[in-house]
Amino acid sequence: MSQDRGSVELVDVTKRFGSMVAVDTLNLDVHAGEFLSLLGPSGCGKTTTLRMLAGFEQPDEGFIRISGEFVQGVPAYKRDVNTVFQQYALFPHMTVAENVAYGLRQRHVSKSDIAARVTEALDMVKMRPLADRKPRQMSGGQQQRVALARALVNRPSVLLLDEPLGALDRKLREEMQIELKLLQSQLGITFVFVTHDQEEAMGMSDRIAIMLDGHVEQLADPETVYEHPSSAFVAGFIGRNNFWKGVSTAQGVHADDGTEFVASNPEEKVAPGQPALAAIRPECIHLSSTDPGHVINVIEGAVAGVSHYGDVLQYVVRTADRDVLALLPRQGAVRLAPGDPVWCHWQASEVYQFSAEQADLVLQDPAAEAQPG
Amino acid sequence: MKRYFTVSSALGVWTGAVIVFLFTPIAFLVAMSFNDYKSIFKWTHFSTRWWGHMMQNTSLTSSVRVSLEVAFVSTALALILGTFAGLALAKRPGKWTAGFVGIILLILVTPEIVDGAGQLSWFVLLGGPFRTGLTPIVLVHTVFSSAVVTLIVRARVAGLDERLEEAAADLFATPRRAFFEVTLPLVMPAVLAGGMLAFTLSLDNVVSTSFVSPAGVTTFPNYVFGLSGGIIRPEVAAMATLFIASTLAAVGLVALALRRGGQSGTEIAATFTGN
Ligand SMILES: Nc1ncnc2c1ncn2[C@@H]1O[C@H](COP(=O)(O)OP(=O)(O)OP(=O)(O)O)[C@@H](O)[C@H]1O
Ligand SMILES: [Mg+2]
Repeated sequence: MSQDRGSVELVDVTKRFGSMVAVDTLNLDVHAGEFLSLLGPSGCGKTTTLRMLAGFEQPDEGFIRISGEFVQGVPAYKRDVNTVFQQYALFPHMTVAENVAYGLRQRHVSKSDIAARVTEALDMVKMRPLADRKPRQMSGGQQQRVALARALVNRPSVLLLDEPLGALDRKLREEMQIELKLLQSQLGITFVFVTHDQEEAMGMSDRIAIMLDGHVEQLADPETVYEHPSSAFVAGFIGRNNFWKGVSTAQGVHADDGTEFVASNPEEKVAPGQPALAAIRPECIHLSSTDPGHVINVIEGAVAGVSHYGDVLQYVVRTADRDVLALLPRQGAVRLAPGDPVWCHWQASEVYQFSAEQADLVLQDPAAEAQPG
Repeated sequence: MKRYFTVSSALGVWTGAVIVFLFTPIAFLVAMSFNDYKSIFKWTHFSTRWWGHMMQNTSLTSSVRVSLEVAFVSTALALILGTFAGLALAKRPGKWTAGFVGIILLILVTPEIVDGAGQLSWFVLLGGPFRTGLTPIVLVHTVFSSAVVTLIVRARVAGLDERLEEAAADLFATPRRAFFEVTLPLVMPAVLAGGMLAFTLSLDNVVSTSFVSPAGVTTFPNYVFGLSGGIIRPEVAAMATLFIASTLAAVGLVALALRRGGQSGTEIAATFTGN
């Protein structure tokens, strides 16, 4: 039992609000002590999932285990789980110290222990000097830290965080990301972290659960979801991707615009002749101003735009049917001006191939959507 | 620039005029309590003699006692009824809410003369305790006071962040402790403001009170209203001055309590004006 402390398991969990299915037969395994992110577009059920773990909502179907124990019908106040709310939800009529002490008081910890642990928790988030302030006398970032201290002081087996950094400006958010990650690895508490910011999830998590329409689309470490996305949706959601629609061939995909994609390890799940998607990441596309002279894994177009992002250059290349995005490292990148003819090409090892099921989700390029058929 | 100053000084003068308009009658009454003459309608010279007379006039002092007793009891009842009704309206809305709010609004908009007549006929029918002592007056005051408290508390609870109760539960507070340690303290300003309003409304009431007052029971406003020949002596002005002073003190105390409870000045003002 004790080595299970901090593990979380959701099995076939479904939650409905009226006729609306917010969470749809969701399965998820969180290991004890890991930093797991729930990542997905707005409305995919992240908050609802977290609220079921906290005990604010009960699943309609399926079951949840926390630290190995079933939690059906266990109310929130009896769960060894704490939450950092998106808008912090600090008690406005209590000081910072009273807020942080609240959970310990409920558990009848002795007065001297409370004082010591509150001080320790406030030190941990560098908030000790503000212990006597009221929440409304603090900035968003300071409130955020207090909310974190208020939850962590209880040493829960699992900490739930619902977009805790969403309201902070970029610089503060990046600082807090580093601090949070550090705290988590020091304390060894399981973190279930909700975000819709994929960079945040990639940077902080041990594993990421990518959610779509109330279920988990892929659960893996950041490198795997980037390198081996299990679906076109994941490929488009993690980083960016150029998608082409077409039909599956023995070696890859024959796109509707005539481009021939040959993959070094073609997807076996999509039988040849079936509708399929091919995808190439912008950073895997090479540009050349001369015809590379081969007919596979290449598409011809003209430069439509160039943007400079620090150490990368972003080119938009207009091809016959659609725009292609290419990201090149500034060092040694070909310099092209708008209107120049250009050939985009890529390695066979960079070709992703998916079934066409999620085509509507990922093909947002207006040029691609304008295509007949 | 110049134009701006003209506009702003005109606004200043206007504000001053409004204040004068509002407070002159009160200042006049206070001044008249130090009048030597036997009526407040004519000033002779300064004297405090009516302040002494005030305490000897037993029908005046007993009417004040009736008013205070009625105000305290009806306010206490209204706070209990209104606070829970307000909480229920905001937290468990359902099919019943519209009807319930309708009844409350009806209580507030029905002309008092109608209320009073209706309540009197009802009390006559019931008889017994409903026709003696303070009971009928307390009941009538409790009805409108609890309607006011309900609306104020409901507005406050509806404006509370629901997450706060969840946060309390998340921090191991049982529903009971979450209510007493989080919800109630946050609703308290509205309860206090509602109580203040209820108390003043009760002290003020004339029409429905005069309908249901049993023989020999008179409240202070009804006593003043019924003074024979419309002669109001400075002792009444003295008593009124005492009332004004205690009302101000009460408002001050409530504001202090709210500030202790962590409210800012604007929030306190908003509470008093029912926003
Ligand atoms: N209490 C509720 N009543 C009705 N529908 C709800 C309720 N809570 C959530 N939903 C619906 O369930 C779906 C999932 O909501 P949820 O809040 O879990 O999404 P989310 O992934 O957290 O989105 P976001 O990134 O916007 O916060 C949404 O379509 C939402 O409208
Ligand atoms: Mg959410």
